[in-house]
Amino acid sequence: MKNISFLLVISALALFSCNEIMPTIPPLSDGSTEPVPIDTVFRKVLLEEFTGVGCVQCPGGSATIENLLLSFPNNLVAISIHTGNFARERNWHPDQKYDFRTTDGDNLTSSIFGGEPFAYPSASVNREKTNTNTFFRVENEWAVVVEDEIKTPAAAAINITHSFDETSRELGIDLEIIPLEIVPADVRVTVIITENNIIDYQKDVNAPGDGWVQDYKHKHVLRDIVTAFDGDIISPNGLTPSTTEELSFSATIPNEWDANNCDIIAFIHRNTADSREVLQAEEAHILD
Amino acid sequence: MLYKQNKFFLFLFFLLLSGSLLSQKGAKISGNLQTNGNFFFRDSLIGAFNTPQYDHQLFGAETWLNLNYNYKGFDAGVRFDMFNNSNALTPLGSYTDEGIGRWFVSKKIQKLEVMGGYIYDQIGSGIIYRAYEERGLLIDQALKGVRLTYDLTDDWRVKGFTGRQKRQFDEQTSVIKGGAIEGFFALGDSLKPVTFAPSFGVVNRTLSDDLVQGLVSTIATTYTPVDSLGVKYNTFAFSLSNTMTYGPISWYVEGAYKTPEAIFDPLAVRTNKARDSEGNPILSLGKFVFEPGSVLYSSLSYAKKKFAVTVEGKRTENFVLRATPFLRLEKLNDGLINFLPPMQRVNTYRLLARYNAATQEIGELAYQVDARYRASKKLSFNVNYSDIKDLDNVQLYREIFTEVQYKKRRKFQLLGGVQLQTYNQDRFEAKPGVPNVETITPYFEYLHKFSRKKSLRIEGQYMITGEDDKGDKHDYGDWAFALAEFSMAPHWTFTVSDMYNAGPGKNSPVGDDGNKLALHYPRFDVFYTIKNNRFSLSYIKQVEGVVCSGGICRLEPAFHGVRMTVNSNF
Repeated sequence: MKNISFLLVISALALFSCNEIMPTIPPLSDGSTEPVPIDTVFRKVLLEEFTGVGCVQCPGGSATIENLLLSFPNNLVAISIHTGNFARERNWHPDQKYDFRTTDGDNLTSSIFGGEPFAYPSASVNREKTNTNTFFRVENEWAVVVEDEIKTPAAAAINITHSFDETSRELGIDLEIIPLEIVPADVRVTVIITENNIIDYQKDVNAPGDGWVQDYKHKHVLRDIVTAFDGDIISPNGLTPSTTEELSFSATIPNEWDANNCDIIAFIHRNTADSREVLQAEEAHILD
Repeated sequence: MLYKQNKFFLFLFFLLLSGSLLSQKGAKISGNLQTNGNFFFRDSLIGAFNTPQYDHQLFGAETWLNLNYNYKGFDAGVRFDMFNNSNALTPLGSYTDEGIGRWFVSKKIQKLEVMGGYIYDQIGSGIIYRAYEERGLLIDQALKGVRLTYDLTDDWRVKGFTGRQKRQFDEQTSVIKGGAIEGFFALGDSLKPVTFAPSFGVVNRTLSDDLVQGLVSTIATTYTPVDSLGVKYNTFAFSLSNTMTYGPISWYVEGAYKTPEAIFDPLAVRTNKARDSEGNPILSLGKFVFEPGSVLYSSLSYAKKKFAVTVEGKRTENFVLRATPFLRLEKLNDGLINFLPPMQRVNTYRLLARYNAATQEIGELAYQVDARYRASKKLSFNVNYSDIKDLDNVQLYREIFTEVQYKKRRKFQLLGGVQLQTYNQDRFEAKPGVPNVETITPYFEYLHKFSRKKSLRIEGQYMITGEDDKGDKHDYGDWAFALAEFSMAPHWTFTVSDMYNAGPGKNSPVGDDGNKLALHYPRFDVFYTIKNNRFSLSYIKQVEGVVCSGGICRLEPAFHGVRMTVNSNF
């Protein structure tokens, strides 16, 4: 009897505890309305996605990136790096047109991120490490980290000006880096060219039949790193708010790339043993 | 802070050991050591490359050193864990850290037992709560907290606990609390009673503000109104179980219910804000849903003289119970508070264990029958059938297993049989469109005893796989496996084995000439045991595989290298 009484008491306690004030979720958008801009519009966050044409879950990850870009149109920059297991030839469709892998992308993955991701899709947000010392984050973590990073004041501003000769396909890039706080060395800049809307095969868990989508639109594909893959040192002494840094770069856009769909992405970042944090990112279309 | 904490407990523990307690009569100190070391040999042909260990670290190691102290109902323990460039936590990554992996103190004060520190425990069969360690998978989900156990009578006891789940040398941010009452009673004839061992348990998990904010943020920024859902801090799980025995019959039944919360369903269709070229929302798989969960599990056994049979069944629906709603790529088992019993036979032979049905938290309807018959002291039979479907009646796994065993006492033992499997690779490994892998695997094992000390064991298996529409063999195709193990008791064991891709399949490596390669994956082991110490040295070449769960895929990479282990008990 005593046992049954005890059982009833703990059940009652548990049921009483079931009542809680649930957190409020703001009204959701279907993407057709303009999102409310965030007050601190100055910070642009860099999301580097690791993907591959043979990765069946990656179209879902890509959709999440587009959702985030719609939610934070002025505060987020995305790069898709095709690398690792699911990007290898053995996982391609037999009629695959393009090899999206790049030496720069592979170097970036092995040297900056410490090796291939454990699973796909995964992404690094501002190259901030997780509490288990890895850069890779699962898809449903991206939104919260992006939002947190956006709320952090930017350490610098980046202005991109560029010129593009459509005949020679020479691209000139001028960067103006305006520090807003002291950033000790080692601080670097990386300049990347990405291409959007490339049509080719992609495996998709949500696709019928054999799972291959023939006319998949690949977005934010890393094409080339104009600087060294681990960045060029901006100033040996780091950054101070009183000094604006001006840097110039050049690149040639191959004929196979559609310049209309190419973007210049520049970001400044730490490169110390403890931190590879991205401090600020900026983006510009090659052809406006 | 953690460092200081570790130092404090080490100091406290060694103070206890070195002080007057050691001089007490009856005090007992025991412990064990397990250490593994891997030398990595780069081998791009089988995919053993592109990880820090193969590229530049070359060596990785893990060590656990455990010490326990016991004196008159007072127990204390401390465990030192070390990981140096280890790939155990994340198969493609490198993990380095060291520190106090576990400590605890426990004391029985009359009917009350008090325990503090890192606690391993479970309620019932673990469906609502199981805090355990599985080093092979580097699962260590101890509860860092306090547990009180009180003996109500000789047969009834109640327990309560609270704390946070261990995560390497850190803790999950959510708080777990729970309790259970467990008992035993018998009815009827005292010579042939009907016995009952009932248990009732409750577990509550409260998410931290950060985790809830993360959920709210994810939903607010990436979900459309059609996928709207609620978020709660708390979830409660209840379970009621009982084991009834009567003579040769034993019947276990457990029912569990979990209150609604936001869980990640990898098969739920998400409507994205992003739109396709025709302006329609892009659909993708995997989203958070707000659902309650339930599990019903039962096992009925009959065992008498020469015949034994066990029937098990399980129905699972949305029973995701984790310390965090966010899966971590590097550790798919991260944050699991409970353990759902698998419905697949535990296979140990190499090829028979190649395809495994991972437990499905979202939905599973499964049963298993295992029958054994001993015709004589020499001859015995075993048949097992398991069948796993999802709640939409999609076949996930089916296995028919047979075994015949013949023993000639002190001379030899021969067993053999055949296994037939149907494995839903599409679902378990997220490979859409691939047909179910069908296998037929005959196998045998022969053990010959030359003398009391010397014996030879030989294993052989051949896996025949089915073909897809294009005539390609499923997955890696056909495999042959052979093993010879020579033992010289009590010290030495030598093993040599080879796994050969006899009929390469769709996913087998391709050579420079474009043809599928029929590769060998050899392995050599030497084991040396002396008293309480066991040493092993192995050369291993192991095929890769992809393991998926919860919509997240993980590459289990190929391994090529040398492995050393030391196990010691004292």
